[in-house]
Amino acid sequence: MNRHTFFALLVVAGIVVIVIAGLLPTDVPASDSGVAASVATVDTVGQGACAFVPAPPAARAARAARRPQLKLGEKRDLGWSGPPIRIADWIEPSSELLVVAQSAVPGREIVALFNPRSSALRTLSERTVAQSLPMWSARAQALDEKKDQGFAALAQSHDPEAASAAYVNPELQIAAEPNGDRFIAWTSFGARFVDTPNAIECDLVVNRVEGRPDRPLIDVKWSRDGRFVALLMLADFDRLGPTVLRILDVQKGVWHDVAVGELAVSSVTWVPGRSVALVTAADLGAADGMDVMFVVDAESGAVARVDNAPVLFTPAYWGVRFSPDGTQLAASCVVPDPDGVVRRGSLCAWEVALP
Amino acid sequence: MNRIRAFIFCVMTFGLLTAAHAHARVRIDGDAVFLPPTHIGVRVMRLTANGANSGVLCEVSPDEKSFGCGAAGYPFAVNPVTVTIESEYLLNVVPQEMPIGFSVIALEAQAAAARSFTYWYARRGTLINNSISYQAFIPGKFAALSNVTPDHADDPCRSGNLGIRQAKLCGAMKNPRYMTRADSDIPVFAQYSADWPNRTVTNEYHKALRAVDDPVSNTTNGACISDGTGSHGHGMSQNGANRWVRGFQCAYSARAPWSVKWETADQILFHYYTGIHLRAATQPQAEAGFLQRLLALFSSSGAVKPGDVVSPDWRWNPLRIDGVPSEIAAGTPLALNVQLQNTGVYTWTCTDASGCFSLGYVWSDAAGQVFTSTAWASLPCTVAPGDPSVQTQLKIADTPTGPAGIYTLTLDVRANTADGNLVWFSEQGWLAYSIPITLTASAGIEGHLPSAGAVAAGTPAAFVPFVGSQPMISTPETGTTPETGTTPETGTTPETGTTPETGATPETTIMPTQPPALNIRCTP
Repeated sequence: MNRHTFFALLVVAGIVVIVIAGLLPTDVPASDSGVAASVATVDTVGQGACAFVPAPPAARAARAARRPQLKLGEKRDLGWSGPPIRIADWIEPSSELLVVAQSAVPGREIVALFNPRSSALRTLSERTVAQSLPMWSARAQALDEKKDQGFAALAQSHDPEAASAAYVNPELQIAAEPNGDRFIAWTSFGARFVDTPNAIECDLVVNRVEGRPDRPLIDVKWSRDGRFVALLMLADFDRLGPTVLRILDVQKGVWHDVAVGELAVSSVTWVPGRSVALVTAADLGAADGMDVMFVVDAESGAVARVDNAPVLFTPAYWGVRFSPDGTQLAASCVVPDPDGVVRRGSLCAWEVALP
Repeated sequence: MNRIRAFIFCVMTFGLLTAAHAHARVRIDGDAVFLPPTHIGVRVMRLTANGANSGVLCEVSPDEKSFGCGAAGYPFAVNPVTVTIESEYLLNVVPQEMPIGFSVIALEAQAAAARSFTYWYARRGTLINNSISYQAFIPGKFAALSNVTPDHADDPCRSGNLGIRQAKLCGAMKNPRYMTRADSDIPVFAQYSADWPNRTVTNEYHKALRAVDDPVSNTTNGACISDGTGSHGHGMSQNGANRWVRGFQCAYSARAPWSVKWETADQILFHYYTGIHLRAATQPQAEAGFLQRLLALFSSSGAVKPGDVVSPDWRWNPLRIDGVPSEIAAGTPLALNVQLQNTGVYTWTCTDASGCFSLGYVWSDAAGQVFTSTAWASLPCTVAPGDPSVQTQLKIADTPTGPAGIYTLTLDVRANTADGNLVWFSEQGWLAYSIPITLTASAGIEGHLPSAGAVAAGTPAAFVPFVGSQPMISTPETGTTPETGTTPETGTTPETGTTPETGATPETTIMPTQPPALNIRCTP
């Protein structure tokens, strides 16, 4: 998809989302993070670049002393053993896992709900194999993709069955604020910041580097308190491997980078209710593809290794998700065979302790 | 019937001869001889957005368009698949691992590193996968560099309709070579990483992967800073490679000039990989048809064959040269502070204080005439290959006094041999380093050369890349005073090694330190 197509899709997506957002019920409480203040940080309405700027080094240094902590309890099995499953989300109110499982049909995969209490897997829909995972928000707006349905759509429903009928273009991904008012539509080429209540749209250009091509985005995640956005991007255009993790403070209109030692960050998962993210990172010098867990304080950028954390195989693909209340962490605990192929998997979880 | 018998006889004879020849090359005194492989087996996996292995095999289907499987659908009939290393594997790996916008010289170095890395696994019989755990291989990457489908599908570089970027990549791969350690014919584990500041990182399990100073990649130059985030720092820095050959501290733009600019992929490879040689790889089909390759296989002539060493033993690289003005007044003395690296395979060793190895220079004018040099800077008595780099000061008092114009100051490392001769590295096939300097007229100085027409004793005939002739042993140099006070650079702390490749054991072979051929030994 070229840039013209991308921006055309962004416009279509924006229109669709704004229309649907206007139809949505308004009983969902707005986040109390004060994100409305960020309106002042956007320089123009409907066009131009968002006015996010790098955080002043002095401010970052002053906060660097805040060292985040996150500890995991003993691993427990969630009762699934069989073909490997990818975890997309841990959804409310049913406390089920939104997952993607292999289909018997080549080139297809199943979007399903897994109930940890009953160990039952309930199919919602089938889709073309895709790298992106289906999404779920607090308003039960399911975002999924379907081949040949060319634009984004959101479903307005708390019913998973109905929600599964909603699709988003596979090349266009959306990171939505938990209360659904704002979202970022993105592809690897760039991102569009959309604030529907305030009718603000702007290009999120924090992946630009002076004197070199834009860094391709590979993941965008909005924190559950609505204040931060994590943007994971390749360190260099057209080269895989090394990544840059950039944390955007939507409230203050600033961003800063987070380095996890010499490792390449592979995934980001926000801890509900906290300005803290769980990131997984890998040593690119090793050939085993195993990732280590770290916890990042979004405000300061301070990083610490998660206590008692397991080493996971490619969690960016298989999924690591917190429960909505933040007390549990689920992961697809796949183990590759010696040839690097994952043939069987299990789902596991840990109790989370956050001081 | 007779024709059929004759044909069968010919085929059998050819087969026996080929097998016998192959056997002869595979076994010498019981040791296996490595010959460049032509194919490698790859398990093609779906990849994550940054190229990690998902653990899921690509389906054998043209509809399989998951990332990593091929932008136009999975193109092979099986998975795992055996692919040709040059025209299928590397042609897609190189542009995936290094931005195609980089210098063609950097791309050539990248190709040699990727090829060596591939051979290392092929020799072990490893079935690799297409993820960044090995090298990112996404089928169709080469084709995607252009909107035109190459008209030679089996060997795209032979196509006559290549796009500009495809042609650039093919140019970088037209002289296929790979790296081995100097004391072995086994390919090196040629790791490389995107970027690393100041000094690369030792991989203690592979002797070629020693930490080396990389001053062009630094953290002091604003927007151009070298950022090692997510890299491992072993072996070649890809951004560093592009910095060296473009002569800028910025890998992506012509900003922040650096004092040194390299000309060849060899300089890059010998800088980042320690104690290695380059060897000829498989002849590309574009340059050698079946008959030519068959003849080359049996040829005992001087033609380069796959596996032959194609690099000289004695090499050096300048890393930084301070004190060089682009323009000077005639007769103005210079004092250059030079940081240089022994990039060869032997330690520069001497036994007396005057030094055996030194950094010398000559001036030449626009017509190419070379003039006397009267000084040199001695180098420390022990300079090991790779690291540490050496800092020395070269004082030049005999700057030309005129006429005004563009002159070339050419630097080269030289050695006093045991028999009293002076040998420049450029006579042994390595590159001297040339710096153009504009000479302006100086008040009160008549325009004349320092010793017009006199070629310096011990001056190499030509400071150009050496191509196959016999080393020239110069006459002894006399009457000059060596510079003093040079010391090796200290104070850098080697990085610790990271996780070794599974099953790898530390290499134990000792690097040779006694040069067998050149007879470079210090005068007692």
